[in-house]
Formats: sequence, C-alpha cells, structure tokens
Amino acid sequence: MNINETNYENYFLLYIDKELSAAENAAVENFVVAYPAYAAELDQLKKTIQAPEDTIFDNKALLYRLPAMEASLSPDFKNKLYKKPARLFKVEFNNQTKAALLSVAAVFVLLIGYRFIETNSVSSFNSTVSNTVKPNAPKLSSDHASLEKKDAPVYTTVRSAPKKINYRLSPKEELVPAINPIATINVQETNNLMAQSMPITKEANNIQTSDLPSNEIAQVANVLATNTTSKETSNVTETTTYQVVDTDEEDRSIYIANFEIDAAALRGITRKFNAIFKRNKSENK
Amino acid sequence: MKEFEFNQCVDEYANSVYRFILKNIAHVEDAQDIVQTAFEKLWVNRNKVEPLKAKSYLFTVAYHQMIDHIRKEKKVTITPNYEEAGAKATYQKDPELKQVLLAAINELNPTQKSLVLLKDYEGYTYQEIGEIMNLSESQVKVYLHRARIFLKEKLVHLEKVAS
Repeated sequence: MNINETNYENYFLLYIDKELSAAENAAVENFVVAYPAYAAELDQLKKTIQAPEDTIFDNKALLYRLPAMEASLSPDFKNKLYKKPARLFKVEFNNQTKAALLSVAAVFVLLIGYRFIETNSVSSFNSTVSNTVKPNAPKLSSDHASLEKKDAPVYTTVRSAPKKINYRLSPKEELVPAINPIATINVQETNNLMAQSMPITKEANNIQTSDLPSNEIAQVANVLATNTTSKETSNVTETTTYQVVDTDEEDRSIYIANFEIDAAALRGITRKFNAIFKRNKSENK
Repeated sequence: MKEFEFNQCVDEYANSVYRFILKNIAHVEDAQDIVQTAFEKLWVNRNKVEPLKAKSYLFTVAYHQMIDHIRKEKKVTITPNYEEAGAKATYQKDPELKQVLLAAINELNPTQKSLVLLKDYEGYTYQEIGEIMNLSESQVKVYLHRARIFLKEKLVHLEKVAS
C-alpha cells in the first residue's frame, strides 16, 4: 500500500467511510503527519460526515404486534382480505347454445315484425275511416212536395222540420253540421207525419181512423215513407255541398314502423326538393 | 422471526428507518407511512427473514418504498436557500455547521443522499449499502465519493466566503 499525492484523496474518502483496514488507517494517518498540507483536506472531508441525531418515531404503538390483535382475527377472515386473482369465465358456444340464441333472436324478430304489421294496419284503417265519412250527402229542401197516398185519397202537405245531424270525422275535429238526407228519415218521423195528417183525412173522407189498429197505422206509415222517399228523390233537384278539407293541420303525422314523423316538418323538406328539381328543369330547358 | 423478536426490531430500528426516510423526503406523514409499510412487510415475511438481517431488510423495503413514493409524487427534493443558511453559519460557527451540511446534502440527488445517510447515520458498509439500494459495491463507492467531494467543496466555498 502506497499513499502518495496522486491517490491520497481516494484513501482519505475510504478512511472517513471507515472502509479501510487497521493497517491502511494507520498509513493514512502517517501520510497526514508526513504531509501536513493535506491535513486540512482530510479535516474538510471529515466535516462532511453528519453527526448522528436522534429522530424518534412517535407511532411505535402502530408497529407493535400484540398477541391479542393477532388472535382476535380468525384465519378465515384474514384470508378474505388477501387479494385473489379475478376469476375468468370462459363461454363456449356449442351447437346447443347457438341454437338457443338463434331461437331467442328469431322470437324477437317475429315480435318486432308483428308489431310493425299491427301498427301499419291501424294507421291504414284510420285513413280509410277519414276518407269515407264525409258529409257530402244531398241537401233536403225544406219545402217538401205534397205527399201522395195510395190508400188515402186525400193529399196533405206536410212540413217536416229539417233535422240536423252531427258527423264526427275524427276525435279532434270540429263538429261539422250537415242537413240530413231523405234516406235517413226514420219511422218515428213518419209516425209524427201520420199523426198530423190523420185529422185532415178524417175530415175529408170520414174514415174512422179510431177503428184502425195501431199495426195498420204503422204499415201505412211505412208505405207513406217509402213513397215520399221515391217522390222526393225524383222531384227535388239535388244540391251537393262540399267540405273544405284542411291539409295544413298541425297534428298530421306519418308512421314509419313505430316511429311517428311530423308530416308538417317533412313537407317543408319535400317542397324544397321539388323547388330544386323544378329550377333545374327550367334551367335545362 | 417470532412476535417478540419483531417487537424488538420495532424498538431498535423504527427510529433509524424513520430518520433515514425523513431525511430523504422531508415529509413527516409520508415518512411515517413508509416506515409502517416496511414493518408490515417484515411482519408478513417474518418467517423468511432472519432476525439478524431484519435491519437491512427494513432499510431495503423502506428505501424502495421511498423511491416508489418519490416517483408517484414526483416530489422535488427540497433545496433551501443555501446562501442564506451559509451566511448564518459563518457567524454562528459550529452549531450551524450541521444546518449548512444538511442544506448541502439536500442539493444532492436522491441516490447520493441516501448513500450519505446510510453511511453516516447507520454506518453501513459499501456492500450492505449496495444490497439495500440494489447497487454494486463499486457503484456505491464511486457515487458516495462524488457526493463527499461535492459536500467538501460546498463547505470550502462557504469558508472562503466567510473569511
């Protein structure tokens, strides 16, 4: 071992780190005595060693293991606390499960299809109802022509008050008044008609109407009614009333499958499309 | 390792492990947590760890916990204003040398700091330090010597400023 001016630092460092043997320590000390110029450097290095200091860990109570603590926990409970690898479930699709899944899917498809058809039929039914029920029946003139009777020779003029029937097109629509057609004159009305005509008949022909049974009166009324109908339809000029169908209603909606689509919103788009194509046409021309 | 041996380890090493960690991260609560974790691990592995190796085991676990902690927190080692501390030290001399040195140590990188602390406080050999910090003996020697020279130069510089 040879300490000299080139390698002294390494030895000094090992010296202060107490990594040298006793002989080496003595050699370093001898070197410093021999070369006092380096003594200051060794002192400087010695100063870099930190003096031990007392740092106290306050929570030692947390660290101690007491028999009671250990015993109080059952091994089963402690086992529960350990982390375990998560279980993996492997799903294998064999033919049976595939068939089962397919059947479930098929049932779903059928259900959806059935629902689709159902909603389509309901919407078409609604449209037919709204088309057919339109009160454009012929108007009955208030002045009836004189009624003829085959059995009774006396002619009577009867004024039947026009009856108003309300038609309901759809639940939301306003009631549309219309004058009833002749075809809808009922038996009740003809009975009243009979009652009015009876006294006149009595006066003219002296027929004892009281002797007639009620059944016969009803028969006569029926005949009268049919005659009146045929007369009326042939004689009265038919006037046709027109109902203005409002197409700009706000609650019009189109059903595509189960989805309700606002037609008013769509109309704007279709009009725009039409406008574009028309414009193109005119440009082409 | 039996229960009473473990409790003995707590009595003997808790303070030194705590000091080592606290000097490194300068955060009381975090240092306490790390010490507690180290002792937890010792308890879990008590059957594998020999009582004589318990101290270095504790330091090893605590050191690696600390490294993890530093990485997680991305904590920068606190570097107090060195000039101020140095100026004070020159007037009050020796009692303040400790503070000056501490300030200089805080300027070292975490590895060098741990090396110095393990060497000075715990008196571990290069080999033991290498085992704790997962370094070779020659690495420990080189890093530690660099740290010493850095500290020495800091102290010499201060003395020159003072005089």
